Amino acid sequence: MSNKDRIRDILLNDWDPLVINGYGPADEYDRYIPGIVQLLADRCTAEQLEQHLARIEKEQMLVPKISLGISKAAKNLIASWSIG
Amino acid sequence: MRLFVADVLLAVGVTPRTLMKAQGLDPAPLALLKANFNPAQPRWAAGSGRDSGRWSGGDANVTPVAFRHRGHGRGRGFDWIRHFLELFGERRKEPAPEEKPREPEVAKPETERIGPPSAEQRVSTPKPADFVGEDFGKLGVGVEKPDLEIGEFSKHAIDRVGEYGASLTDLQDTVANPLMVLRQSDGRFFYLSEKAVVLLDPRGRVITIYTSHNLIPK
Repeated sequence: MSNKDRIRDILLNDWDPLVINGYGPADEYDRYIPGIVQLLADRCTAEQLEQHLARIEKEQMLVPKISLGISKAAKNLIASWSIG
Repeated sequence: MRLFVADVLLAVGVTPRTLMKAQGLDPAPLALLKANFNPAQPRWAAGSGRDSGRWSGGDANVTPVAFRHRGHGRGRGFDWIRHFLELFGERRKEPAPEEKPREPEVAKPETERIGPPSAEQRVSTPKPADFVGEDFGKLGVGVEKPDLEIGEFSKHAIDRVGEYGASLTDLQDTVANPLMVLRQSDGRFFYLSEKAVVLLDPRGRVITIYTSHNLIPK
């Protein structure tokens, strides 16, 4: 599985602020993958990733509250990048 | 109801029973078909002194199309539901049954008489009121159509509209005339029409959109 596929899985299964997993299109969050890849390549921390995802939720998606899966998604993104 | 509309509704978790009620059809046949029961099977009338109420000849010997393949209602994906709706579509075209002979007397089922709808009955399109209170898990709970109109679009939604090539008219129509509206846990509203899904926040801002064809049956 490629990095992009792993990241997409995590964004859909762990993050999913728009609650589309299992119902909507699998590419719903694909536009955010390049930015996440860049952060991971720069060895960001999980906290930095959380802040990045939270900013996307607030500024791009108008989500009023931080989604519950943000922390888990950030940790899994870091872990998946470490796998290589 | 057009079958692809039924597909869309079933994809989001609407049960066949709910779908039938929304169409003005008696959902009793669902249980009857599963029980292999044929209400038109002649039976000895109650109080006849013989085996009253029992079928006068053999068993019902009914194997509905929907259940002819591996197990009752366990066909591949949603195929068995599609077959069932097709079966009902065929029944709606049948003429009214002729009078049966009096002996043995045809016993009416205890529930409403089941038969083809009258000529006046029209195919109705589901509406939000048909699903009020239905729980679709994390997708939300059915509610009456809120008094909302599309206001602004989130950046995310703008990008999605561009990717799908969705028309504003289709999106506005989805919000104005949805098949179903679900209220989600964070107060957002999920609007479903034949053409699109529109997710609105309580202020009428579009959070995201996608086409009904993108709905994935689970």
